[in-house]
Amino acid sequence: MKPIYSTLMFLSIGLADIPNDLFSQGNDAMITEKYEDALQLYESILELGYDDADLYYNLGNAYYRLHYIGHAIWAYSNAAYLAPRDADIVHNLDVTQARRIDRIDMPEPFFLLQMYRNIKSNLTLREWIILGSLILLCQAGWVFGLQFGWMRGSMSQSILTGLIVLTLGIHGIAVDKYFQEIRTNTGVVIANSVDAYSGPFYGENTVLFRINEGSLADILQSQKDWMEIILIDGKKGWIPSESIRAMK
Amino acid sequence: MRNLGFILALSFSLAQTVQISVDRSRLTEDESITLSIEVTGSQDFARVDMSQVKKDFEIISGPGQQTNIQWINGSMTSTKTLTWTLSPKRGGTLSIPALSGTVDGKSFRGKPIQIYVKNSAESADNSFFIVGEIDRNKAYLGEQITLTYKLYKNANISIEPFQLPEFPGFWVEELYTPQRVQYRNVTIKGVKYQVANLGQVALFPIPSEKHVIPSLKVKVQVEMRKQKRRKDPFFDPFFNSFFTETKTKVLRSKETKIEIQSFPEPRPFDFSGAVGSFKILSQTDRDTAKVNEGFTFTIFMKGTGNLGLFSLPEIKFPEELEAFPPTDEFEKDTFRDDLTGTQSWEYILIPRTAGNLTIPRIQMSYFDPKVGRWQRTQTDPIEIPILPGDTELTHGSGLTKREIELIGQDIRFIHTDHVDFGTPKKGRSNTAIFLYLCSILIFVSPTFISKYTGHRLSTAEGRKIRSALRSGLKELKNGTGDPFETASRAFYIYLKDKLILPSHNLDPASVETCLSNHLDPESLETILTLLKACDAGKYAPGGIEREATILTDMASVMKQTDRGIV
Repeated sequence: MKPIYSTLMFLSIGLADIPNDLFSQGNDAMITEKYEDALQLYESILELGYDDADLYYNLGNAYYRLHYIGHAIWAYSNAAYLAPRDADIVHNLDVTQARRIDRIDMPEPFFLLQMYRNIKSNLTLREWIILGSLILLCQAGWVFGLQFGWMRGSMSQSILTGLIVLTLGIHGIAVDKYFQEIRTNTGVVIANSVDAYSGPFYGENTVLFRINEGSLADILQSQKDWMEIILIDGKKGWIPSESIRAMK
Repeated sequence: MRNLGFILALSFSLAQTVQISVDRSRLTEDESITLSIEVTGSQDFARVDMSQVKKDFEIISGPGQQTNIQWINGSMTSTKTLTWTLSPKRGGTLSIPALSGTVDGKSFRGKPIQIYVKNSAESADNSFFIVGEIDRNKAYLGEQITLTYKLYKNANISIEPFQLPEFPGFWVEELYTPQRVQYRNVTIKGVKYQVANLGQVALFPIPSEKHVIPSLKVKVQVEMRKQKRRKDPFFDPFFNSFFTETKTKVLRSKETKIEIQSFPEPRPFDFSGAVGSFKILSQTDRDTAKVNEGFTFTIFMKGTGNLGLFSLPEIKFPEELEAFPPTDEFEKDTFRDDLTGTQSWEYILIPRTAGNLTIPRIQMSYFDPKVGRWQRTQTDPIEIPILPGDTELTHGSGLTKREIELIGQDIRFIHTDHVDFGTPKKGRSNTAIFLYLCSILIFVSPTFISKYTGHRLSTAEGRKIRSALRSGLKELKNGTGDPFETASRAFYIYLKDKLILPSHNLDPASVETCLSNHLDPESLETILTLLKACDAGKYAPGGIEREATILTDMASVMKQTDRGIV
């Protein structure tokens, strides 16, 4: 009986250690400048189904060193999604984005909208939900206290009002973020000089525009080996699927 | 008459006459006719639109120009003649349509001429023919087809100068053009032939409606003995050998259709039409460069295939670089049948800022028809450190402090901390769910608590009722002045809170009406007597003996009442 237990334990430890082993091997490869090896190791962790901001960050560095700007932006964007307040990730994403070729301009949004977007992107969806649930818990406690007469006066009433507004606001942001994530399917162009056609095949279709590595585009639909994309400035076109990598 | 089958004379002015004629009106398919337009008395040659003739005939040569000047009886006549050699495209009754043109600014129009063309029997003459040999019948767009025109002969013929036909639907690269026709001996089916290579071309199909290799037409002079010689007393058969007649014939190779195969889908996005087998390399002429100092960047493409038919994908140089349009060079490897060579593009790049520069990777997909698959070839990106230029070093000396110069911009180093990967893909947060459940529990808990304890918890009234006894007792304890006064006021305050009365200005009568529904008459009686005693004590002296106990009595009565009131 004992050996079975120990085997099971060993197995579970082993399973948990596989991604960590791969990760540290990948880091070693990065230090010795074997970027191709590092890249494969990191990608294999992703294939196992794990994801982590640091993993994406290191993967982005490997891609950057090999001059795959598109892939690097893809990795950093994923990292920034998981850890939006990590300064290193933001810095590297900025540096990488400076190296991409296309500059797609978008009209400057109204400053309040911009502020709202900044606030919204500062926390991940999960963090927003946890924050919302914490505030809700506070509110519940406060109401409980009021009902049992431990707290009295107009002061505590206005605090309660504030808590209610805060709860509603945070949950509103969380719902907004949730739908934004469900609705949009962003991808990064990973090849240079990709022609966007008016339809999902070569032939009669006209080349509408040409995009380069690193440009962000929303994927609207896909058909066989083609994907319809829309750029943030509203240009729409079909490009081959292998030239774009969708975000996780 | 035979040589002037048709003469159409048109005189449209006194001075000028136009004659359109052919040398014969009956011929076989492999023969040719001569069309001539003769203008008498004009300054210039006639201008004729020959495009209609091309429907049924092939123009083998022409127009040839000829001018004759004659003096007859002191008057001069000049004749200007244009001649074409035509070869019929098919058998049957063909017609040269009515030709129209101008001469000296005046227009003329001829009449159609009928020509009878006899189908030459296939097996009529095997002694000389032309074949167009191709190495494949099926090809992908852009795949090389090697075409060789060969002349086979075993008779004594001589060929006239010829031109290779046009190849519509193909891009043509000449591989071999003979300077002089050379023959070598071969034996086909037991017959000895002499074979000459008339030219070899590499054809690359380009998108077009049809892909047909046209026939090559060559005019040959066939020497043949005159068969029907008159019996001449001066010549005996021995001399016959010297008297040979040459006959002009037109040889044609057969037309061949090429079947175009379509590429397997999906096509790679960076496919620009390259078919064959290629490899691209890039290099710079130096390892480091200075600002404003140009260096060259060369891309080599080595391989076999339709080199020259496609271009490299566009290269996007970094913005810090100024790039000039490349010079394009092609070196052909002449020793091979397949079009092989090295194409190179040379860019001159001038860096404008210092720092590390990266010339991007260049990649290209091509179709390899040998394996029938897509392949990709790419170069590695080249990194070049750009040093500051010499001119910049001159300023910036002295003791002035400067801002920290940002030499280059780079990404930050990897994170090497231990990462807790946890379980893959947990979709929801358990913490949040736990917190939500707690909140809901706290929200609903007062309802349950009040249900079990029987207290009214949720209103201020409830709190007042609950604290009625407490405030009554507090009033008793803190009350100053007349103990009777204090005792009765405490009871009225208690009652007001307990029964939620508008005011505590009560008297024993109103207390009786209020409490009659809540208390049994006996305890009501006790309360009333006590209250009355208080009133009595207040207004009439003498209740000294009650004064000491009135407060404790009132307290016990209040407690009793509180228990009694439901």
